[in-house]
Amino acid sequence: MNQKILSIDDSKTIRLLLARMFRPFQVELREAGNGEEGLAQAREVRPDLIILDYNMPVMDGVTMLQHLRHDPQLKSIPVIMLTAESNPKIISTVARLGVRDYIVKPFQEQPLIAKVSKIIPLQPQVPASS
Amino acid sequence: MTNPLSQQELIQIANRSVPEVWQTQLKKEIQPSPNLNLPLPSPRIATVAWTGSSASAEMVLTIPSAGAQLAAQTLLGASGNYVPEDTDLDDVVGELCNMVAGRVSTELRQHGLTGTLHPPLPGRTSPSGTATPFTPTVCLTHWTCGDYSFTFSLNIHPNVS
Repeated sequence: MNQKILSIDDSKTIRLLLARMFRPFQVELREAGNGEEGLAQAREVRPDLIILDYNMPVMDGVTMLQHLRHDPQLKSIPVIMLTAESNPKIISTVARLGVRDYIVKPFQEQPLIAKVSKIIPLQPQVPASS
Repeated sequence: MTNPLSQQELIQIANRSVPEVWQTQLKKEIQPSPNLNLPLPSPRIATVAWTGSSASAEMVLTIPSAGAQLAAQTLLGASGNYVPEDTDLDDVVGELCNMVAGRVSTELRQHGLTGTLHPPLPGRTSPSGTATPFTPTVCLTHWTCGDYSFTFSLNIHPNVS
């Protein structure tokens, strides 16, 4: 069964980059462009993992995370932060909110995949039979 | 009130920050290009603002459309038949500016300047609330990456009290 990852980032570039990175795996990737859309997607999809940006219009990543943690249905979803922001106060805040990992952009693809695979199983796609 | 950092300090910050993003995210080496011919052709521009308690900054990345296209192909080239649309190229430049700004923000913190980044905006913009009567310290750096050249500017000024 596909693992469901929800990518929440206002940059389409990052969302497409993550889609490319996880294409070799049995992953269903869903996308949202800000925290508000991300919350709606999380309620609909119940993802196995959320990859979350911080700086976003409408609702930033920390606010989204606070909403997530106060929702009994969603509070246990693991979250990895993927953001250009490295302010220690923000890192400390999201750590208190139970974020599993914090990755600062620019980032390398393989370490991110490795960190994701420690949280959810990443199975390679089965080649289509000819 | 004096500006928090000198132009030379800003140039050093930019000279460390910009290449790191190109090397890490695009797997490309870039070179300083002091004799760049300006203006750049068909420029794509993105601005990221940084707001601190005592100072504010604007960071502007300007890349020709052809360079943005190459960056998009490098980042997303393995995405099947994906062909970047016009707005996608602006987004690529915005995200690269965001990454450089994040690296710059880390360096500003090492100089005792704490603040937060704002989401990237297309074009050359000055976010509301950062207008200042002080002349900003301006740093403009020029770069070449293979077939294209680009600029990154970093402007910082004390906040109005």
